[in-house]
Amino acid sequence: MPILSILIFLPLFGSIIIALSPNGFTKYFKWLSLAVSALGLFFAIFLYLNFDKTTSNYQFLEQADWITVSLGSLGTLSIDYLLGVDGISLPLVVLAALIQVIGAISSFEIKAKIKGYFATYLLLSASVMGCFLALDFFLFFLFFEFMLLPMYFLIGIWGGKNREYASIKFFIYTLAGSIFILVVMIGLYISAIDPVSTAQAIGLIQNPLQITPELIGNVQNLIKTGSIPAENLVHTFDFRFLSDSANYLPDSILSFVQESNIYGNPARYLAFILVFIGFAIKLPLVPFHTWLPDAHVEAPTAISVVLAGTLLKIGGYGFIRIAYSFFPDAAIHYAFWIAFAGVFSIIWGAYNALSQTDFKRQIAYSSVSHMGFVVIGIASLTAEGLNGAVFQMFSHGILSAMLFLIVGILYSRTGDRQINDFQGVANKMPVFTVFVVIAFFASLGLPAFSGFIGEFFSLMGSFNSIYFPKYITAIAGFGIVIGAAYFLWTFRRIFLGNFWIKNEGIVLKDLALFETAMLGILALITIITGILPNYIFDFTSTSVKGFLELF
Amino acid sequence: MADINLILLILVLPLIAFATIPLFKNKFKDWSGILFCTICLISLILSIFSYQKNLNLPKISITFPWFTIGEKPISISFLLDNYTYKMLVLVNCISLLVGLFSIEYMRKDATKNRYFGFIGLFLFSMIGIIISGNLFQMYFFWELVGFSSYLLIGFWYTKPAAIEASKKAFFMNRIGDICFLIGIFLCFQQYGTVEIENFLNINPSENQTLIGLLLFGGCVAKSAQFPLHTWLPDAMEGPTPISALIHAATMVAAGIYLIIRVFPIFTPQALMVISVIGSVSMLMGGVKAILQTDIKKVLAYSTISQLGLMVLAVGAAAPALAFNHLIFHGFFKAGLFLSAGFVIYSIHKAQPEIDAQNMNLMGGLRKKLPLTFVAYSMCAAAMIGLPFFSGFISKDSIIEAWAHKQGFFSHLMFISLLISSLLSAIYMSRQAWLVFMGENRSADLEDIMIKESSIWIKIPILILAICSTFLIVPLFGVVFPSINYLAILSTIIAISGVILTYIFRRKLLLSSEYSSKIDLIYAKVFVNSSLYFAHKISWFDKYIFDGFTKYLTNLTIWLANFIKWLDENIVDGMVNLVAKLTNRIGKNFTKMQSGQFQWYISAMVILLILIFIAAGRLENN
Repeated sequence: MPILSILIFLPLFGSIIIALSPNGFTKYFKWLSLAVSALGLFFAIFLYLNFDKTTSNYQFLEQADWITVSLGSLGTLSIDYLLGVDGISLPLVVLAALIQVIGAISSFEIKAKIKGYFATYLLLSASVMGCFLALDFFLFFLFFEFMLLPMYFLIGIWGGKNREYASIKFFIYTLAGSIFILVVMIGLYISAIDPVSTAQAIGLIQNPLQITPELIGNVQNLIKTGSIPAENLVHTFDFRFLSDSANYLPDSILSFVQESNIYGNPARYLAFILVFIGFAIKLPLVPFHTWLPDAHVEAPTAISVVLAGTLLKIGGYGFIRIAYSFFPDAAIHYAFWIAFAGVFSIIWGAYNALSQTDFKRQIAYSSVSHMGFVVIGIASLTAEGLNGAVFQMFSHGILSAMLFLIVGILYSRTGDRQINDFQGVANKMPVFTVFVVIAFFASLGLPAFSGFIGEFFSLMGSFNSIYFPKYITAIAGFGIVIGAAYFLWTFRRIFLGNFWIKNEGIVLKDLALFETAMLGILALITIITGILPNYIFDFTSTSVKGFLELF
Repeated sequence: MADINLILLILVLPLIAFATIPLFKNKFKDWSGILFCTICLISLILSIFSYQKNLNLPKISITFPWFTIGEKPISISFLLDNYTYKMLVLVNCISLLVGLFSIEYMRKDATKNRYFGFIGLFLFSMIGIIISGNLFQMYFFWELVGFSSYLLIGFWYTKPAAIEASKKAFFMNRIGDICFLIGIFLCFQQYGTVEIENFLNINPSENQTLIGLLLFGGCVAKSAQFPLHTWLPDAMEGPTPISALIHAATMVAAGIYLIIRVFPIFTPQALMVISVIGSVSMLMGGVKAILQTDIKKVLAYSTISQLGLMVLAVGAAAPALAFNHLIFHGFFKAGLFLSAGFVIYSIHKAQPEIDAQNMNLMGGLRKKLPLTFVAYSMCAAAMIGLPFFSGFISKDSIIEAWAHKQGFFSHLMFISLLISSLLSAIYMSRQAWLVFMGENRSADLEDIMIKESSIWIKIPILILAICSTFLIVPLFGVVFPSINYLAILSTIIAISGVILTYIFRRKLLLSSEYSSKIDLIYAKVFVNSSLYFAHKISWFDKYIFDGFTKYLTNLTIWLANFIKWLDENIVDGMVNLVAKLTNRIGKNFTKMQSGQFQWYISAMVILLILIFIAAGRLENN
């Protein structure tokens, strides 16, 4: 069963069905998109249960030749439809599937242009899922780019007052990032070779199945000595080949052995910086983050949930899978600056969150702060740090989804998001307040919730790192204190005290069933993974170990 | 193994209370207190049973795998020794008594189920700290204790002072927690383990002093030591039984418990720093206790002072002595708080209008609350360190520990201990005088009916009073010291403190406006600077980072205009032609779309599929 393709194409077909259905079926669209998402989650759980934790290789591989063009003396262009998961992407795939369901439920409150909304929503879900599953750079890039359009429309059409500005800002920022990535992608493509297909091209084997590790070694030796004629070289976008330094042509621009320079700078370092910035925008890392608060504030609740829950994770995933895997040398070289940027994000985001008056903007800045932990975890290049970073991505996906749902619930009842316009909401919405306590304290890193594990091990990794000094971790620790400050302050301001809201006419009702369900599921997951983190670490450990062998 | 099951049961019982009691509705709410006390009683019996059984047996250390990160196994481990069992008995005993007291104290509160549930969470986390065998696990419960304390201080969440206090407590504790956290990291890195058991035989290393001090940082916040002590007096805004349980007897002692546990790691330099912090807190707490007018704040500052004494005992390399004082202090301080709580409760019940915590308005209550007076006096005597009371034994042994050390520093510490003895005698007897002795100073209180009522209140106070005497000493396996000149000296100091207070009894009243400047400075330094910084950063974000984008945008627009100009003026003719064509095509498309969004979507999806198909075709060529 091509389970990975199902995960991608299920929402895609859902999208087409909705887009082409007559308007009379409008009221079923939300149910259809929920059903499609729930089915996707079911498959993701199936994937999770059948995953082999003992190997760091990609699993559930699906490969099909997609584009193969012979370019004469330039060799052969080979693009595969290649999907697979490993322990690093698996938690994110499950997360994406889960957030898709939560987002679908949360979308029930959308009242305008329902058909367009749900069709776009499913299209977005499909491309996000594709990003986590693609193992061919070209395919990845296709999904990465394709994410932009639906997001642009979702914010630009169903957003708040300032939606045009926010959506175009989001679009331009991300597009700029993807251009950086595109440039590097082309550079990588020119430089790297697919040893299997090349072996086939020079007649060593007839059939890819005959390949053995020795044969690959032979081909790689031939590449190293430059004895394969250029027209027989098969260039590749395959992640598995790109992360092996032996597959790079010695005289190519991104070669490991021969340092090629661009204006006096090593080309590999420049390429790393480009691709790093490309994903740093997505993550987002300060100072590339200013699109995020605007996008969040304007986006409808469900889209904020998906944006913070899964889209940002593509940034962190891209760091690990692309920037770090293909440029390990540059990653070590810039480790200090990356860690510094991560810590800077933590502190910067936290302080910004502290001074916001708009609840949603504050949560958006808290995302910036929390994703900083992912960056220092990755930069540490230690097993704890990387496992912690992946865990933190998962955890932040769950928690930010919760936080944005909370803002959305308050906003849908009052049409107001200013922190100072509320007081003592706990009096009227006790059940809601319980979930807020869970979300807030989990986010500020209270043990027994997932945020603690993510932050703890990211920090521990950064502390153990040999690539940058220990005071970096100490400063990051300070970010946790500020994190406590803004969550406590907001909680005190909105939920405690005697009840008062600015729009006095509004009667605040406690949670409806579907709201309780959404928050309840997320709360349960954050508690379970917080107490039994091995549900994630068991999957990430082996793959992280494999990843670290590159360094 | 049977032992560990027993201990786990003790751990889980309060968690069950937390998970169930808050869900009670309507009439069942009245049962929440009873249920909670039953659970505490079972836990207490189990604790005493395991204490009896394992007394003076070798310690047990049990480890289970928890999870693995990278190659590092993180385990759940339990370390069970005399400290553990004694601590379990103390915590369960005090929570049972406080629970009984709370049944009456919270009788009218509509949300008492929440109250008892939160105490359940506290108990769970506290017991978790007590039985933890490694630092990571301890940190886990450590933070949960802070969280439950936050919930309980802010229990009356419509009362602004309480909310502020809860926030402050959590925040100040967080600062200490970060030290603790980094201490754990350093420990992991240096020794590859955080199992407490392994600290006994670690090799000396260069960072050992630093590790010790970082771990001690956690204790400074939790045990309200200088300079992170300011949250504790504010925490008195919570319900009084909570102050007795958490902010006097148990939770604040967790910091001391931590440094007793990790004691082998402290180097002589670290111990010196610990001693200085302890003695500063002890003296400062003592002085400030004398200057309070609020009945609970006196006790809060005295707690800081007594915790400082315990820290000082650890500084003297005598963790066992610190532990004895921790246990005895737990009983008599809980007794003092519950007595004070009952005074407040009965005044408030009789006359809700009055400020029930202001000692200036009290006086002469011994006649109306004779039982409370007796209990209070016994606990106070233990605190002062009078003979025949428990505090005498533990305090005296700490003084002795320092007296036998050589060197200027030790003498200094010894003198500070004597001063602190005098201070504690003064503030306790001052409070006793202001509340119970003399004549009533408030016209309002003269006529109203203040009386001792419920048995729920009398029993806990009496038990705690009895536990403040020598009777408790053998129960916890503490040996009576032989009488020497130091015991006599400290007794003389204590008694002279009481006498001094009596002589100056007319001058004990203080204006309630008296308040230390230190607290204000704290507020300025910590809160205002953070906020100021936050605003500055936000400004920077808005105008510089985002501004940069704006400049870039402006530049782009300018460029775009420039190109447009180029376009219009130079490539004019050709472009016009193309534009017209495009325009016509575009209009046709617009008609086709007729504003329907679904076409965009379909087009996008079809485009995507076309890319797939077309690309596939390419291959065939």
